[in-house]
Amino acid sequence: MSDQNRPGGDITEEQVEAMVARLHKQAQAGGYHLNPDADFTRELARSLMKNQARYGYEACPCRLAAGEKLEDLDIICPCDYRDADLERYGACYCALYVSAEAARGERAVSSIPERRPRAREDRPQFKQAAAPEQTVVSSLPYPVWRCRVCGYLCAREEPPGVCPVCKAKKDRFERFM
Amino acid sequence: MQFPDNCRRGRGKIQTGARVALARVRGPDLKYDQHGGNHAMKFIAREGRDRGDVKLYALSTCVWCGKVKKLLADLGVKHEFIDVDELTGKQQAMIREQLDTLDPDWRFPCLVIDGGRLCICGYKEKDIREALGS
Repeated sequence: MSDQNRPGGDITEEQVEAMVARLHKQAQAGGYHLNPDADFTRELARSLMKNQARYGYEACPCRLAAGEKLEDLDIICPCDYRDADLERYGACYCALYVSAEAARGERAVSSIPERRPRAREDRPQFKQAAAPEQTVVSSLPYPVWRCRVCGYLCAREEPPGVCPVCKAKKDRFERFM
Repeated sequence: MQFPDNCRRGRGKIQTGARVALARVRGPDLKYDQHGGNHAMKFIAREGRDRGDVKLYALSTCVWCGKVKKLLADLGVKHEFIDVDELTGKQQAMIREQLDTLDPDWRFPCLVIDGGRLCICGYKEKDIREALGS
């Protein structure tokens, strides 16, 4: 099979540039930073587009996706592990996102350990949040939803379609209270 | 000989079973695999200095994997690599099984030396140079 016929094989340089620009804009709006190594970031942007083409969602380029959305929900970029890894290592697992220090070039970025739980049932999408206490819930006028990617909380009937902070989609929210 | 469960032992199938079983014993030399998808499940060989059996499990989309591929080329070491994400169905399932025994976290890139004597997961340039450099 030629590269042209592979999923994502027909992605043009212009499309990749547009994707990088979109990622930069979203990162900036949420207080995040992309890897300052432009070639590195461009390659990852291309990989995300390839995964979008073959899976229907932007699965993490550096993890082996199952190809089923629910199974891969925690590793759709930005992944559920990004913020903790930014905090601890100054970069996410694939290093598309880096900390402010790393973005300024004050901290080197490298390959980091895998934070994703090995057991399927321990992954955030399968792990039920601790049941909120009935008394608390009943006294609240609205349920509280938490973004599993960035921790953003909001009190409303339904979670938002897109997280206003990290741009994760609605299915990344969990009931918090 | 034990046949894998997923292999029917009907007429004309025994040979396939034996080949699959053999492939399992030998490791991931799956040119014997008969359950073909669109992609031939084959490690891609790169010639170079012989530093033992060097296999790289990689993802086509992973930039760290790309860095290890480049490092191996720069070191001029004979090796084989496979992009696991490019495999489908049973082929990928078989590789996943192998990875379970090598690194249950499935970290990529996964560089396996001499059938698991040494596994270097992630882009660890210093470790790779120490293990394979001259």
